[in-house]
Amino acid sequence: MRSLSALSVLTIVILASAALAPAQLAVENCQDSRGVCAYQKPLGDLLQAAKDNNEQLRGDAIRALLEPEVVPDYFVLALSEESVFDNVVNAWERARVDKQVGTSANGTGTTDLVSRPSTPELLGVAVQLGALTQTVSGSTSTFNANAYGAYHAIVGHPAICLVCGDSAWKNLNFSASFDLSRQATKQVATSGVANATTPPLGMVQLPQSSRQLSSVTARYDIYNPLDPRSKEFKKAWSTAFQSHQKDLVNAAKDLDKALSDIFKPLIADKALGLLRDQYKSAIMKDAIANDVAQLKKDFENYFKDLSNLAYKDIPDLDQKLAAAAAAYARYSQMNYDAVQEARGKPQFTAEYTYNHPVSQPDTHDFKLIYGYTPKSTTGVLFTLNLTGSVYGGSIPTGAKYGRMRDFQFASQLDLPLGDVITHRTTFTVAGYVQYQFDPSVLNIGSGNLVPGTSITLPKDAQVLLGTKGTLGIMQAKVTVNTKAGVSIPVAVSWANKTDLLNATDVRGHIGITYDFNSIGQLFGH
Amino acid sequence: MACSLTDNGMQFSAAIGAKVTVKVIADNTKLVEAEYNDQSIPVVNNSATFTVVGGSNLLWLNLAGPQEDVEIVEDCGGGKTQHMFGYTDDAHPALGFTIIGA
Repeated sequence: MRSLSALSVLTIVILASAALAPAQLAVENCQDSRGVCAYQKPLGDLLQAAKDNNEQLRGDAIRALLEPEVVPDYFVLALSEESVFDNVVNAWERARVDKQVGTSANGTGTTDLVSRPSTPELLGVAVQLGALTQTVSGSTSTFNANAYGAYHAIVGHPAICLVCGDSAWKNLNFSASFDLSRQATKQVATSGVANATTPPLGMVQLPQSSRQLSSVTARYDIYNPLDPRSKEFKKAWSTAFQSHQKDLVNAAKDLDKALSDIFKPLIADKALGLLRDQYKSAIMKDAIANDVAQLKKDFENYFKDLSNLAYKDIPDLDQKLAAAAAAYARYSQMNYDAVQEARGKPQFTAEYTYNHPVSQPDTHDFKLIYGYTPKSTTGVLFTLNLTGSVYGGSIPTGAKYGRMRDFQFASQLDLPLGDVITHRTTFTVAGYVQYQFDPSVLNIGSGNLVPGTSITLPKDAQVLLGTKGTLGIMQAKVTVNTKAGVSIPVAVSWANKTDLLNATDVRGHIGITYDFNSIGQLFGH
Repeated sequence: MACSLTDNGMQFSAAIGAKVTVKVIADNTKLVEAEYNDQSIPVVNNSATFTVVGGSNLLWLNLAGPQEDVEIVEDCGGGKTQHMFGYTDDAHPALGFTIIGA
């Protein structure tokens, strides 16, 4: 019941986040209104220009709407199959080593000693076996969602857009982990024995719906604020541009070739001019009258005629659109990387986790995550975590432990083996140090025996187990990345002790994670 | 100085042999590459200059930078410019203009 309610809360939070996302020009259905969907921005600009009586803005908007070569990304993306763009972007997304899909080090059923700075753009799912700081290994299933990606998936927009600008909602993520191996029983009083041969039996243990929720996490990526007008950004952008210029020029040449293959035959057809003339006055009239519905209708009709003309004039248009979409994705990725570089690194992530461990008090973890990619390397990621953990709920009177549970420091190096984009395997080494202020607290529920005796506890009790002090863990991990977004981490770790036992511990860990980057990928097409 | 391009409201035309300099005006956005009539043209200080040839030919301008306000102008010399196209708070990897040489 508790896990169900937690999942409901998580869903409500994600949907509420989505509802609060910035308002956009409403688009009903991108499958039926591909033109209006792709050309939302200039349609909005035209309405605004008509309202403000701004002649220059109106001229720019009309150019962007009726001359397809002026802003060709609108045209290409309107006619391209979504999967074409997705496939290229997904190759880049899969290559990233900075995503945290599973649960963090403190739970059971984890393969990750250190939390990475990023998360999936839409949804992530992980099933992991093992434990790092915990004495008892477990298996955990983690569901991860990005507020912006989830909202876009719900309304049918692409979850990943490299040129769509910045939304604060892109940086907000939620996850919930469920312990698959957790079992619970409930002690119930009997009504007496059913026959004379049965010895007296006052209480029985009944299996009950287990409290499977093991943790809930909210995280926010903190970037330096992007103010393109600031002196600092201008200076950083100049440096970043120079370091990426050569690659951008090469990608630009490929893009221009792909666009010329599409637009040269189209602009040579006089029918294009006639089509423009046919619709221009109607579209202008709709905008001046602020008749949004009619404007959408007229523009969609124009775009249908334009796409019919394009399919007539341009041989193998679908192949050429696919080539152009791929060239756009490559170029946009480079531009995105350069802009991110100019925004400044390091990238910080603030994370809050509510942990609900088995037979231990709940904890609240506050973590700061820092990710750094050295400039001299390609794809290598260095990550640092700093965490403080406090016990939740009320501390019993006379407790021999305080509110503060521990401090944690962890670092990790991820090294892609092979090409930065196409690598199949990532090698990871990580170290973790935790200082615990008191021995671990173990909850013993009523009805259980006092350890070492035959005395049944009349009410809930707590004991201290293990030792306070420093817990150190080293881990080596190999993650195999498949083309479909599935990753399989296999790891081995050594610890000087665990949370409950004061003895060295060597353990193996395995998991499987899935990073859904598009709603199409989610539904398998 | 007179500008070389004539804006007919939708497309641009110019006399064959006219030299045209186009310039990108923005806080950060850089002109990465420019091509006219399938030929790469040199980019200097966010500007590119080409000589108009006969017929309808495409001018491609490739831009890199953050989302911001960008204006494309013809640099007519003597501090005079002619607006060709612009957009606000956006980013586009490529812009194309049909130049009719006659």
